Amino acid sequence: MLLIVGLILISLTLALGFLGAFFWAVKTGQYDDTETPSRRILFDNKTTKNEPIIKN
Amino acid sequence: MQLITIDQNLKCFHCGDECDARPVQFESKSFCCNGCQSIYEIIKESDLSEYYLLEIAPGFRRTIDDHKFGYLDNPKIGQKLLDFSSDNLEKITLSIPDIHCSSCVWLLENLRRLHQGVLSSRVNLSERELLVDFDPNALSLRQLVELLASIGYEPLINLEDRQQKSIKNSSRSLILKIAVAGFCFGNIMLLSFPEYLGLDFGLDKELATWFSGIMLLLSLPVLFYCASGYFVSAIQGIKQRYLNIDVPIVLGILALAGRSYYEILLGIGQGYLDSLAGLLFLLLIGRWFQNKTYSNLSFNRDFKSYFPLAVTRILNSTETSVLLDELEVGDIILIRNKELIPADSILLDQMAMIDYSFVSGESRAITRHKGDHIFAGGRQIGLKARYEIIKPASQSYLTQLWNHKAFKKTKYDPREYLINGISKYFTAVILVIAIVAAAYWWMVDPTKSVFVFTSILIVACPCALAMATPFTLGNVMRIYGKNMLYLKNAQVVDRMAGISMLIFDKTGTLTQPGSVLTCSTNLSESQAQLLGALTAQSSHPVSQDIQVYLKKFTKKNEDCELREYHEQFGLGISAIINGHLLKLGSAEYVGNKGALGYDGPYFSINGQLVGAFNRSNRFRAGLADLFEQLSKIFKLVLLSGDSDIDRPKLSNLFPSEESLHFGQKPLDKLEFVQKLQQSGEKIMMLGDGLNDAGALQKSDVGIAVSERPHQFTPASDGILHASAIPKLYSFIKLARWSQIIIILGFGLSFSYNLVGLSFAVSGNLTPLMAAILMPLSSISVVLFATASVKLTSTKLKLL
Repeated sequence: MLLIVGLILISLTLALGFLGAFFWAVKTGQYDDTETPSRRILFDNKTTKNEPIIKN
Repeated sequence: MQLITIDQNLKCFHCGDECDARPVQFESKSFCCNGCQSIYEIIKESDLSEYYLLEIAPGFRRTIDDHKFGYLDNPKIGQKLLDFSSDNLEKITLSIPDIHCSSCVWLLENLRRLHQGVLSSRVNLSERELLVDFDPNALSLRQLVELLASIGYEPLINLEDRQQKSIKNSSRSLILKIAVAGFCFGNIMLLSFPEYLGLDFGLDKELATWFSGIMLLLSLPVLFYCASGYFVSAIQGIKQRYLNIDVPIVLGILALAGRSYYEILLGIGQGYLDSLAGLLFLLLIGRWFQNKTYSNLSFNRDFKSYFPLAVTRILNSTETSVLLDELEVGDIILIRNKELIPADSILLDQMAMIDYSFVSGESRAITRHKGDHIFAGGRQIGLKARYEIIKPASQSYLTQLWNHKAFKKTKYDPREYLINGISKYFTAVILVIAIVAAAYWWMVDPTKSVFVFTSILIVACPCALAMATPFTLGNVMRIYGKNMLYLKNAQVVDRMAGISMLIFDKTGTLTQPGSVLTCSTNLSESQAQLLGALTAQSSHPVSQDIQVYLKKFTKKNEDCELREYHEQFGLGISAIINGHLLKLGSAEYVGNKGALGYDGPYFSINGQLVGAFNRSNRFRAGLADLFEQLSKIFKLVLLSGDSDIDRPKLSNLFPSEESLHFGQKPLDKLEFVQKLQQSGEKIMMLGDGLNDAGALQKSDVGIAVSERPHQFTPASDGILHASAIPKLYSFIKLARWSQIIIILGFGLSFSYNLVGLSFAVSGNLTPLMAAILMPLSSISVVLFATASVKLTSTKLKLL
């Protein structure tokens, strides 16, 4: 029966990983603006010749 | 392809405004002005015309004058504004209120195609911000801002607004707390399943211990991290000697945790940890729902945000841009058209026209002469002028208002909010029941006494009670937002429900900004043609207004022969046009003694008086109906800084002559509100300008009315878009209904509590029962609050 405990602990660690990922996402500001990305994805990625090439 | 129908009122291809009689034609497209047409050209030339395909007429008119951003060359200001700066890379976050659609996003994110100094740019649409990385060697900060202004996206530059980051962080930490609570709630529930299903671990005691141990560990972050805010708030409440709603919540949390840990550690049972985590999960969601804030609006501006960051100082006949704080008494400054006068000063030039409408509410620009004492806050109109500063900006007449004690204390006592008023009695009643029941069981069966005591605290924990308020007010705020009333926080709704009196400002609040020109006679086309040719010569603001007015009468510009143009400063202008002598100016200048009773300029053709112009205020639409509705319930008062020229129109709106007050200075307004409050009135004030700032601060609910809510409003509890003023009655009605809905929600949660209490008092509360009862009551309260707010606002035509 201790196998169940082992499985539960593994699933908890996994879930903690996702919680950590969520923390990271919030802290890096990925949820600060939910509106712009939803519009940005609709723009065509048209490449133009006029675009200046920038060297860093 | 979408067909664009062209109706009779031609709309500008760039900004969508209506074109007047003579639109600017370019590439078979119509524009309302040269500014819009030139933006179109810039965008077209840079191969960015996709801008116009994403949305119809997405742009804004360009308002630019060359010197406006000169102060950005000042390195000290630059350092304050930049997020990051190195030799070949600078980063800045600019607030651009005009960002509003996909086209804006697209154009601004392709900024590098307009100028190669821009390395990258990113838009944040919900905050209306633009993040730009640029190369300072190729593009200075000033050039960047001017580039943005040249395509119609003028940034709002303000040092004060930079402190908003902390709001962002607090909302982030709330989201993290919800995540943790949700995570623990789900996992604890999973581990509680054997108990829910009545499974007996039987011989496997070891497994049961493991399960309880994991649950205990999972509950620790809930108790110490997620619940921390409630502990802090309850302790603060007790320190101030009143029982807020968080006190019974904390009692419930402590009872839940204490009882569960006791049971688990002694191996009696598994406790109520699922209920504990669920409780906090729901409570935090409620808090998040209520905390909906309009982070891109600023509710806390003080006088500093009205003044420019820097002004032009003349020193040894060279002009330099200096920060406002660095100005000293005796400095000579140059103020250009439409700039604000930042400090009390003396006019050095012959004459200047100053518009004080934002400061005093006076609707007309006034003329000042050399040597006059000029108060800070006026807006220069027309020609530029030089001033000598006589008082530092922070001590001017206008800023004294901010030293008033009304600005120093917080506005409202939390004790007066509905929920805290109820919770005071609630906590007392619950404690009495718990003690009485515990005492009863002490006599009957001492082993059950503590069990019953904690059960009562657990069941009575006002989770549902605490949900009724945030969900009702949160929904109300969202509905207000849809109707363009943006409140600072949910408590304002509570205060709005209690008001007994409404005070209105006139200029800018009841009237539209700017005045309309009317002419005493009907002009013929040839007269308009001649007058148009004359006014085209003058840069005086009145001439320019007349010019715009005349466009209605002339179909096209004909070339006129103009000779002997004279401009006499402060009197008028004259010229011989097509052989006719035209004069435009004061009554004496034209040769008449003001018989028409008009105050604007008179004009004559060949010595014959033809007519005069008058300026009058335009009142907003829908006011008559609104005032009729409002006057049935509230006392209405007008508090205007202007003279009583509009008295006849206003006395129709307001119930009596006594409720009209004219010529009120900013401090008068504040004291007027204060006096009424002392006599027990709860006041809602609507105003727009700096002159209302004190009164807005002092009144119970101060609402700033604005045409462009993202741009320029005094400190207030809420910002109302000018077009939504007619809905004011419905707004207040909804606020009043929200109180009834909250009380009904309380009733609902009390009835659940009664059921739970009867189990608890009789000593029959099981963890399963608690786990079902608590979310059930919370969810039904949430549904009830949401549905009834929706229903009410539909009835009030707000949805």
